[in-house]
Amino acid sequence: MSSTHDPQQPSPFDRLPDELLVKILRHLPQHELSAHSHIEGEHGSMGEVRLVSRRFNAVGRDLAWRGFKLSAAPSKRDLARALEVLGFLPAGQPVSCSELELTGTPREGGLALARWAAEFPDVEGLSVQSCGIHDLENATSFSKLRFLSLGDMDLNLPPSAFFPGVESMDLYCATFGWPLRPITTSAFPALRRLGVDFCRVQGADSDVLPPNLVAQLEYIQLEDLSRDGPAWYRPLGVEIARQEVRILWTVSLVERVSFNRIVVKSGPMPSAAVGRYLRLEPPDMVAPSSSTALDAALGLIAKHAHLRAVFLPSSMWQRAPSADPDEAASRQAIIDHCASFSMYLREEAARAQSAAVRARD
Amino acid sequence: MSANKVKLSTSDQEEFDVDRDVANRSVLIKNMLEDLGDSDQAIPLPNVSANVLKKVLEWCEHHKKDPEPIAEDLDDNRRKTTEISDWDAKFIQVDQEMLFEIILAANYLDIKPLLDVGCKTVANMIKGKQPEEIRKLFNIVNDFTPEEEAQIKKENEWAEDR
Repeated sequence: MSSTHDPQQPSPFDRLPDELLVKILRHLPQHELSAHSHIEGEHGSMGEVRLVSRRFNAVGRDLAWRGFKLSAAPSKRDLARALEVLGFLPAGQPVSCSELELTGTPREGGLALARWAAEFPDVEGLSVQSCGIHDLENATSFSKLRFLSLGDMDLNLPPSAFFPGVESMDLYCATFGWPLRPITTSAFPALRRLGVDFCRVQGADSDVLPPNLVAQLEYIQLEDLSRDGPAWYRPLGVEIARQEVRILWTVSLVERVSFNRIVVKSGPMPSAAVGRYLRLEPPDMVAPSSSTALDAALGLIAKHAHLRAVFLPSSMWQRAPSADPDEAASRQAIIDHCASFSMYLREEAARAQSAAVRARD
Repeated sequence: MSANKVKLSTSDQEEFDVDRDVANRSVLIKNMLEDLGDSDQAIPLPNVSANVLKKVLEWCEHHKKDPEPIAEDLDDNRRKTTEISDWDAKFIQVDQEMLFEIILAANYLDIKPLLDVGCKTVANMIKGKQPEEIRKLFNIVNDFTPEEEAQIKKENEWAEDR
């Protein structure tokens, strides 16, 4: 790219209408405000780019505080501090918090989600973590809520919970204890995506995810297949049976070959049997150990002929072409098994090989 | 003229014969073709010059069979990403003038993914740079008064000493 310019030359930005400048600036890092500390400023961020010129300022000013992310503890003190800090902005600045992340146990004052909702009505993404049992019911007060993330807590959605706009929900390290309250279609009529990571359910026979909810989903993202945890808890989400739903199934492989074998062997949990997409994460993303990860991948893929796509990190293909016929055979087998995705894999493999050859020469 | 080919005419009066599925990546052209029906008439693109159209068509050709974006769909796509695929990154390694021409053409022709690649590329050039560096890179004149500049700095840093 040429870097020398005649200062007399007009800037290429002069040719772009404001709407396109907005499109470009939208890709810059948004302000992240933490009630614990100050803004995470960074060069070339939305705030700094305003200093470039009057025009950048005019466009950036409207964007700068629109849709910022706020992290705080769910306490009255943090709420007060966040508001104080925002009150410092000049009047007329469009301010809206689109993402709110509440973490930790409040030291003083209770969690009052309804109050946060009143102060930040534009929140579309709400993440609540490690807050213990609390008034999730009040999360309903966020009327624009589309993304909900709940983690590190006992989950007991109140019967009156109603999230009409939530399209996507993530549950991680959440425990459904007694009394079990299922996630219902009436509480989440718009839910289309569900992510479940390391969640546990107490008891064996209750349906936290009723069939009609699963039927409504477009896809489910399942992580964690491990069975550890207290014996009376079972992993959530792995027993969603025989539904035509797009399940993305993530398997994290580990260094221990024996563990991978167990995953492959016991892998076909019922939900995996209907999953269409598989994402494999080798233990070391940069340099997966020899053919272990490939073998495990192959084992899983061979058992699940219904898979339509398998996502592998390209690092699995970037090593020098192997002289090991088994490994080459493994790769070919993966390619053959995933016909619909094979073009991608082949491209990746070809690229990796040419890179390896270039590196050698 | 075959039904599978489309004729496009640029601002500098050059004509391109293009496969219909390639041309259809442009929503503007696609809509025009639907309105016109089968016609031998060249579609005039008065806002795009031949050298830019050539480049844009190269992108359309490579992406003509793009499937539904599965990965993007499956992943939590609310997070804004400035990642660009390898092929696109190589494609967009052009001089600044061409880069901005591609953005303008993609906007005019209504090719959203290409517009996105262009905008992300410019954003990546801005990211991590100080205002003075950005000005220098894009020949932008600093037209602020010192007072105005100080005011914006204050807005940016208001929380720093809290």
